[in-house]
Amino acid sequence: MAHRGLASGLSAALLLALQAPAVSATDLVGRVVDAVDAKVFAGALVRMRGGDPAKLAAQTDGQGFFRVPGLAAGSYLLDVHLPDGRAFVARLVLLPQRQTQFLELDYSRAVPPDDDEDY
Amino acid sequence: MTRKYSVARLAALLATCFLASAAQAGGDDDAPFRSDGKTRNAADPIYFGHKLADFTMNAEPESGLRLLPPTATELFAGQRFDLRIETQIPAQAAPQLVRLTINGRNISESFKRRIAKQGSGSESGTPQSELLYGATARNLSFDQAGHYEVEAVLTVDGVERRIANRYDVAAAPNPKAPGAARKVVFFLGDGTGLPLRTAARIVSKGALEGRVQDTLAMEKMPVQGISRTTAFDSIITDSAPGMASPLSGMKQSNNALQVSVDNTPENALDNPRIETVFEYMKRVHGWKIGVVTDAFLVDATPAAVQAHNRSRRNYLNIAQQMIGYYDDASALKRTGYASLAELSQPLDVLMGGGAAYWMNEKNPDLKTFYQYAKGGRKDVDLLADIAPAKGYSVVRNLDELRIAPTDHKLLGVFTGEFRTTSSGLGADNLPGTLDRLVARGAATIRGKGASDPELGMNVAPPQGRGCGATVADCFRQVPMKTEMVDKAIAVLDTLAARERRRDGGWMLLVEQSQSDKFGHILEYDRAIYEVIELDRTVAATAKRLGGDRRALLVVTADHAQPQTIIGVALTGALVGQAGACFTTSDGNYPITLGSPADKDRPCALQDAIGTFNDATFPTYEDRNGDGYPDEVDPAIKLIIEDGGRPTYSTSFLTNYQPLKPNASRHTDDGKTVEQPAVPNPERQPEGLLMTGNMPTRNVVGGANKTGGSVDIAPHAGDDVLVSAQGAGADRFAGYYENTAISVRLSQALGGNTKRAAKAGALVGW
Repeated sequence: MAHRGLASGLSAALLLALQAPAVSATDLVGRVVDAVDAKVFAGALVRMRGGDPAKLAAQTDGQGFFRVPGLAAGSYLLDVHLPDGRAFVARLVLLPQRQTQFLELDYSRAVPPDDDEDY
Repeated sequence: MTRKYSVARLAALLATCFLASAAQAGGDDDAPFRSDGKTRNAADPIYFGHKLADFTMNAEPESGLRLLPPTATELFAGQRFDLRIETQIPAQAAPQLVRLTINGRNISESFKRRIAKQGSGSESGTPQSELLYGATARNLSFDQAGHYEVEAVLTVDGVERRIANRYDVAAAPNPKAPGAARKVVFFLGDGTGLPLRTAARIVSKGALEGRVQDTLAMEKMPVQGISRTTAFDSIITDSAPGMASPLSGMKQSNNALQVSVDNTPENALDNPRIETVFEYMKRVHGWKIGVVTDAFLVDATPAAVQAHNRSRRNYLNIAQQMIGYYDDASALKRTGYASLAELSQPLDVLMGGGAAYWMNEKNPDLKTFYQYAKGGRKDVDLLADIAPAKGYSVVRNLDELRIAPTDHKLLGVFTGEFRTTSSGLGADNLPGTLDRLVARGAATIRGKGASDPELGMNVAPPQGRGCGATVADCFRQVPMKTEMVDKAIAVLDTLAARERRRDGGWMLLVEQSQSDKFGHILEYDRAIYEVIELDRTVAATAKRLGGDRRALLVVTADHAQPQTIIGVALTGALVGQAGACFTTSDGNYPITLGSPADKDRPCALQDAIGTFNDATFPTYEDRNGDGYPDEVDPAIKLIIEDGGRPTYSTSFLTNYQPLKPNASRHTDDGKTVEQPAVPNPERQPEGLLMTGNMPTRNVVGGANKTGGSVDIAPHAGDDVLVSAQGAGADRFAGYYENTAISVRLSQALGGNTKRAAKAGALVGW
């Protein structure tokens, strides 16, 4: 029984691996916001460090959304430049086997509050 | 057995090899965190175990479709919540709701009718872009206990996307049940982790031959539990979800008060809300509810009782929620927020600081009495006009508090720590316990009392003499916590007895805020006095309600801070050894350590701490019998240090006035820039340099991400104690999420603990 269980378990694992979607690149969809000040940022510039700067940058639309297509899975740091001159850094772990991944870039989470009373 | 064990081990080994090879083949650091197709919101992943890991969010990955409240929110029957369906990724065309089911029963039409009835906009949380789906049905509830599976299916660009949440719903409170609690005092020691409790006991109770002479009232409570404080989106909670989650059962994001996240970040008031236990008991059973704090009243902890807001910083409309005032010409509008007004239950008793969020900027008392140099509301005056019109007695100091009637609702707003020579709490927050004791002549700091110029109390208040001739006079008129709670209970008792439903029930939240605020600025001795005040209030309340078998007292913390007890020090030696520990060449960097004479001993203060077998017992004394040490720095004092901190210097002696730890500088355009890497030159510059480990700035373009400039000791991710006594106290034993506190309260309030055989329905359409 135990051998059969092991065999079927491995078969299932291999089958799952073979059936996994063949996604080689992921589109990052993000939104640049400030949840505490209740703002979405149009015209913010998002740059992903490393690689081709032209391909790894995007500007947000009127609702604060941006899209960076065709990214490989892995860890990234993103520099976010707001239209008012402020900037912050966010982390991203882009998952494999995913066509799209959403990332909310929240200024209020990326930096400490302006006021110590907000702790 | 042996053979099976061996085969199981072989299977595990093979599986490990299989997974490991897959991970190595792809260079995939994230493999250990790969989950079952659920979206991870990677907004702020946490670095641990050499892996970048983000937090799991229950959402459909390609559209970001999610249901709120979050899955596994701990509800009880009858508790109101908003049910929201939304996508997070814009589609090519407007997404459409195909199906919404609860335990397989289709309720799509009920949902759509409810949204249509509420109308679009803030009442339904409608996104500005039709390419996002977002709809919130307000103020629903499950009508009985049981297990509920909620599934939403949307068509997004021609593809059906689905998401499911599950909720295990407990029985509704039933205060008429035998043994159910009918008077509940919930004490919250902000930032009060176990080390602060221990320190308070050592300092206030002493020990003989290693054995404590007495224990804290919190320790005497027969039931002790532990809760996990993690927020929805961070292992380090702030005080908003730290209090909000336990009172409603829903894990919440940092900065959020009794709401979930949503896809309309441009509006902090339209987020999906949840009812607290306090609100439920008032709405359903006519109970009276109150909060008492030493923070500003609209701070996160007191606001978590009945305010609903994505941003804890929206102080003006939170103040209005607290007394139930909605007006289109004010910060909290009536139009668009009918569902909020229906949910949020006004407080019957509220006491704390922060007059600037309650008074109009033109009210002269704001300056001459409360000592604000600037600030105040531009719309209305809640303190002078609105609250009295709503039937509140308004009091400003101890004398007024004492004579306030007990048969009216009560709003007390007291003066804050307004000394211009202090950079500690600021005018919003009440002066600390130690400083109030000094003003009353009941304690000294390094042998000095209120008349000593070092303490800054023997001078006229900076903005006028409305609160007293001197700072000490003003501080003496700020009530101690025991005085506030004593009055709060008297009012709640009276009002509850007059309630037509005659339940006689009430709930009171008592926050000790400065245990956290003094911890942040590394004023450890003051933080310990705060916890002693908390414990004295617990003891006095237990004594007052001790004859009532249906009273319940609970004491816990919203989170800890990274403090720990490291030993003791001989205070006389600290003075002698201080000095010349380090010098700065230009007021900034570089720092020169030590003296050429002894390079192995750069600062004699490092040898001042007695630890291990050299840590004897501190010598605090309470000769006046008020429960607090008479002198904060006795011959031998307790020493606490922080695991997370900005750079600061310390001689281990208590500052005469609260001071921030690090330096700041001013830019040419008038802005203040905090310098977490530079010690405050005005705070014990002769002391031992404690280099910081908190981030100094948000390094755009740098090698790594930090959390920006953190100029305080942070909160800690440690679990915290829950202590309880009285009716239903046994519910609080165990080890649980902080959200479980809400359900445990509902059980102490008479909710049936037997597992429901059959789920009910979603009601409130």
